[in-house]
Amino acid sequence: MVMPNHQPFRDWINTEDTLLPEQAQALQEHLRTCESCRQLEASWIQLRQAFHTSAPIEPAPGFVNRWQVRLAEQRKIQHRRQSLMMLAFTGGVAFVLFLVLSGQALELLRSPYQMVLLVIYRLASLVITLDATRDVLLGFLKPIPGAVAIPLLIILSGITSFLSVLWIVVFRQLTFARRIRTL
Amino acid sequence: MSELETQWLNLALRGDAQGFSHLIEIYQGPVYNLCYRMLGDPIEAEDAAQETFLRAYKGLKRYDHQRPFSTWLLSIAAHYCIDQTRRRKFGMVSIDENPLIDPADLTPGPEASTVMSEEQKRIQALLTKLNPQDRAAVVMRYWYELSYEEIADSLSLTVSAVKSRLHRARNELAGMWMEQNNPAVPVERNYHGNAQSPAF
Repeated sequence: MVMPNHQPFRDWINTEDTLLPEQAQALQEHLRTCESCRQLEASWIQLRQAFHTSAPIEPAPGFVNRWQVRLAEQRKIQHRRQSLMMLAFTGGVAFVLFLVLSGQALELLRSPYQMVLLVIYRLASLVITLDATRDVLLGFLKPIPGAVAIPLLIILSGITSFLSVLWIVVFRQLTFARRIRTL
Repeated sequence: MSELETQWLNLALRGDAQGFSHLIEIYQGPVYNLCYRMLGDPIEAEDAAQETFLRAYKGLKRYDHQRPFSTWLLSIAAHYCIDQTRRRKFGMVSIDENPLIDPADLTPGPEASTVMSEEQKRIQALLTKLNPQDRAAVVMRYWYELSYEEIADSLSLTVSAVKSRLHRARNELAGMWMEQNNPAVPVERNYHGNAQSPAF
């Protein structure tokens, strides 16, 4: 006895595509005689109905609040990680500087005479540079009468102070973790 | 997406977590439901849904406004759940991954337990027997009625792969359902798709 090949019929039962008229007819004829395929078709219809009637499952109340707590916690961890990285970077730089300075200190121990000369030379250069800067600034301020120069200096100092405060505020805003309001 | 949702989305894009919280209010149900259908456990589903929204919030700039927002969220959730299922299979999921949440608080809403009829439990049990990607495709198709193209886009598959996976999943589900209803009826193994190789 030759066993019928059910596979094409099962494919047609489970397909979502529209069958050709001859395919639909062949399927109906097969279903009349095949109990197994009929049951498969019935199972699929039941399953589809069960999918459509199944209510979506909702999370426990307070889902959004829990998400906000989780976000805040993640930000805290991220901020801590950034701080640690910054600390490691600063420590690394300090270590490199320490090595460089240690090298120079060793030089100093080997030949203190040359090092003293170098320090004196650097100090003298600094004094000369400052002197030249003062001359340039005075050259600018000379044409301004004395009465105007003092308010100008006050304004300049004010602007400089304001910019410093602004810089500190911006730095704090950028580096500190933001808080979020809860619902 | 409504105008109000677009406003909240724009707020969230500017880094306002409050704006994004409003969007969570709207989409928490579908995302949680997908996670629950995928993972079958309320605690894991809660964790997955929370993680989905965190990832979405962090990756909001990558959201393509041409796509529906819900599909984008479901895509993130599905990928996360597929990964979790694979990790769980290899025993890589840690209990300490989410120390903030008390499991006692995470049982689904009171309506969920009553709504979960015997039939629903059977469906959930059948779903868990499917391959994770097939499961995601089935949930997206029959719970959210997404098109083949949307499912393909969400699961990073081709449309023909989605059709093939859904066909295989339907065969498996119907076969298992029939087996449960009529244990006396012999069921051929190819109902379970074991002999078939995926076309992708």
